[in-house]
Formats: sequence, C-alpha cells, structure tokens
Amino acid sequence: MANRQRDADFTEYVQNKTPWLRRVAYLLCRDWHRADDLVQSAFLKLYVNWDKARRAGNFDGYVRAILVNLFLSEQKSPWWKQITLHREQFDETTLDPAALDFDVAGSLDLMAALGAVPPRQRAAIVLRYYCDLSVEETAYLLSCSPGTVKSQTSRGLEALRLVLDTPHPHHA
Amino acid sequence: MSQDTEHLTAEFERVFAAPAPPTSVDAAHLVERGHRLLRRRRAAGALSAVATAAAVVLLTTAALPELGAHPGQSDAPGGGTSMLNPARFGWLPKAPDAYDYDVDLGVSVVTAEWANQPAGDDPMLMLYKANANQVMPKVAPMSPYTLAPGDHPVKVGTIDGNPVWYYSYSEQLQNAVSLTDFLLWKTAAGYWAALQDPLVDGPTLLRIAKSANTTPTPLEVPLTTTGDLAKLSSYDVLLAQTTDNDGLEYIVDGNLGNENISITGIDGDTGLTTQNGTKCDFTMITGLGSYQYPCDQGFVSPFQGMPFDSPIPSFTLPTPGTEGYSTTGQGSPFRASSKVLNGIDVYVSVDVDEKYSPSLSEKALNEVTSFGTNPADWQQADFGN
Repeated sequence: MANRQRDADFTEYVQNKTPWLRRVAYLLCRDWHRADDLVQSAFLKLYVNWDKARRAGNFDGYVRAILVNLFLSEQKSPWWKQITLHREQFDETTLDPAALDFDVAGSLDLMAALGAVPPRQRAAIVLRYYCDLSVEETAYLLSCSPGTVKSQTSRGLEALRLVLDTPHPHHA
Repeated sequence: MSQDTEHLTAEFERVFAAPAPPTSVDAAHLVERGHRLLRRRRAAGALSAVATAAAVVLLTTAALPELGAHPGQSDAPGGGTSMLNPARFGWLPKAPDAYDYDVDLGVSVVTAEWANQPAGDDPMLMLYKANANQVMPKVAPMSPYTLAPGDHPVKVGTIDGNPVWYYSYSEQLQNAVSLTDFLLWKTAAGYWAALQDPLVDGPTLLRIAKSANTTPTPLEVPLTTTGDLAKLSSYDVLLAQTTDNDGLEYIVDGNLGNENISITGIDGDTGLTTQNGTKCDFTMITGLGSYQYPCDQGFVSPFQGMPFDSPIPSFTLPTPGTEGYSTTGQGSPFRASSKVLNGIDVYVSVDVDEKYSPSLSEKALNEVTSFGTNPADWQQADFGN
C-alpha cells in the first residue's frame, strides 16, 4: 500500500533527522524536553503535509520552517508566557543580564546568553549562524523582509554581546 | 568568548560537543498520531467541502443567471471577467494580504498569501482553461486527468439543474499518494467549474473554467473571508473519501433532527482475501455540539462472511455516544442506521479498516446507494470559522 510506503519514508526521515532538528529546537528554546516537544509537533505537522513538503522538494527546509513557527507561536501563547516568566523571570524588552541565572562556563555561556535574546531575534541568529541560511531564506521563513532579518540579527547579536560581556556574580 | 559572527557557527557547534540526552521522539508513535490527525482533518475537509458546496449552491444560484445573460462581462470591481463564482470561504483566516501569480504548464496559479501565515499554509487558487469534456487538470504534474469509474464520483446535488459531482482521486507521487477531492459542476454558462478540497491539510484550490488563454488578474480572485451558514435544506450530501487505509469513507455532517441515519449499499468485496470474506469495520462517529469534539464509537464487526441472501443487518443508536455497526460479507447488501437526538450535530463516517481486508480494502465497500436522511430534515448547519 502506498500509505505504508509513506509511513516507511516518514519513519526513516524522522529517524535520520531527529538529532539535527533537536539541535535547532534546543538552540531556540534551550531546554531538551521542550525541544523534543517542538520536534514531535513539527514532525507531526510534516506527516500531515507530507505530500506538500514533497512537492516543495525540501523536507529539511519545510520541517525547519514548521519548527521555527511552532516555537514562535508558543512564545505568543499566554500559557507559555506564564511558564516562561515563572521559570526565568526575564523581560524580553529590557535585557538585564545580572538577573539571569546562567553558567558562563563553556557552551552554557552561549546558551544562557541566547536566553536573554528575544525569541524572534534568537530565531534569526540561529537560522543565520547555525542553520547557515541566507538573509533572504531567513526572511522567507520568518515571513518578514530581509531588512527586518538584518535588524533582528543585529539586535540579537548586540544582546548576546551585552550579556556575555557582563560579569556574572557567580563567576566574578 | 568572541562574538564575532565568523565564529558564532563554531560556538553553536561547541554547544553540542557533549552528547544530547535521550530523545522522546518516537517515529512509530508519530505515525500513529499522524494517522489519527489525518483522519480528523480529512473529515474537517469534508465539512469544508460540504459548506462550500452549499455556499456555492446558494450564491451561484443567484449569480449564474446574470453570468449566463452577460458572459464575459465584468461584475468584479475594476473589471475582471464574470466567470468566477462568488463563493464564500468561511475557513479562510482573513482577507489575503497579497497574491502571487504564475502560469505553469498552461494552468494559471494564484497563491493567496497571508502575513504571519506559517510556511506552507498559503491557500492557492488555480484557474484553468475551459474544456468540453469532463477533464480535470492534475495538481502535479499538471497533466489532464479524466474521471474514471474507479474514482467514485458521487452526485451530491444540483446547481441550476446541473448535477454536482464530488469525487476523489489519488495519484502516486514518488511513493506517496496525494489525495485530491473535487466538487465539479457545469455552470449555467457552460463552463466546467471545480472546487478543490484541501489537499490533506494542504492548500485550498479553486479551479474555475475560463476561456482559453486567459490569465487571472488580482481583481478576479474570488476570495472573501466572511463565513456563512450553509443551508443544506435541499441537498442530500454524500461525500466519498479515500481513507488512509485505502478504503472508502463516506462522511455526512449536519445538525440533524430526531432522525434515523441510514446507509445502504453493496459490499463489493470479492472474497479474495480469506475464505470467510472480509470484515469491514464500519465506524460511526458522533459528537455533541460540534465537530471539534468527536468521539470514535466504532467497533469491529464479529461477522465472518454472510450468505448473500441473509437478512440485512442493521443497528440503531438511541442516544448520542452509543456505538453501532453493520457489515456484510462479499457481494451482500448492507444497511446501517443510527438514530440521533434532536438538536445535536452528528458526524458519521463509515470506512473500511485495512487490517480486516489487507489486500483489497479499497474494494470492500464499492458502492453506497443511499446515505443520509430525508433532505427535508436537514437543518441549517454552522460550518467554517
């Protein structure tokens, strides 16, 4: 049956791509459990849109777009905002690195700093510098103009620098 | 750590120098969930088709006489052609923010775009040349597709006295099946008009026959966003869909009164699967209030092959949420019915479960001769957003 073949193709794709997509998700949300949730939701949407993704000719790009949109959509939802505020107590509009509880050692340094970057800027940075997408590709994925991507990226990088350059009391 | 962007990619990679914790992502579980989701979305798509059919019936009935009287004249703001049916699509999120136009292999493609729409979710309109025969263009690879008996077209009503057909076909695309559902009718002006249901949660396509070599203009895009109630009072709606088990699925939905829903037809199983014939899992799903909350009440028939002349089995559902089924063996007529209480929305699907007819499930149910209640019993149904 064709649907069995579809299931087999999908299963193979999930098994091959899960590690990659988890990493993208983890960079976005900085939590492996939530990354798994995002990845599962993205794969599920991919399954439902399998034919469309096939026509698009780019499964990776398709599922990555789904993942990023899911992540950004979650940021807008009241329940997630509430959880986020309770967990991290950070304000996306005013960066306060001193209020962040992060480990500046090694890679955790970058991950904690990413947490201080507003989600949309974070997505732009991850897409540009981890996924190696062009400004235009990132703009298409984020449904914005290339100019917006440039400004979001610039502001995100500035936020990263601000956090990383601020001495943390735990490591002073 | 340097924040030089040239080094940022390397820094990202360094994040993953340590092994990641075990993942909870399970492909088999996702496939299982995907099956369930597809099933529900197809049903939702069917509801959209029903709503659209009714809306088209209503609005086209009003529009077509004028179109017939003034073919080619513009009734669109700014001067588009008048061959577009002013159907209203309640499930579209809002007025499109932009349109993108393209012509691909002779098919004019209009993609409606919404700001902040998730990637890949843009509905699409397709307008194609008029054809004297009942020939539909495929979405891909855009080659003509002719209706065939195996496509299970089902007459669902009339528009201006012309029959409206619902049909579904599947096509093989690189080891995957694309399911496509159409409502197809001939307008009073003599053009083939087709409204395509979402492609398994894919784009909503509207294909309207036009004169040859005519390309769409922005003003011709017949998209509006106002939802409308579908009045089904004079139409007995029967939609056939190919299930994810490659069987047939018949779906009817509406706000029914205190009526019996009945299904009659011919079980077309050829008996090639087992000596005992093929068991069919007839699933009836009913939900209170609205479709968003269906509860699967189906169960499997214990039937193991019924003689051809056996009495027709039947069942009743005295209250919502009670399950029921009917099945027959090869070549036998069957009938099932369900009694629903006044005032509930009911969703009924009948499908053939592949696991009980693994090799010929698509033939296990090959004809439904009637489905639904007396059309006069249909009440106004609230579809769309």
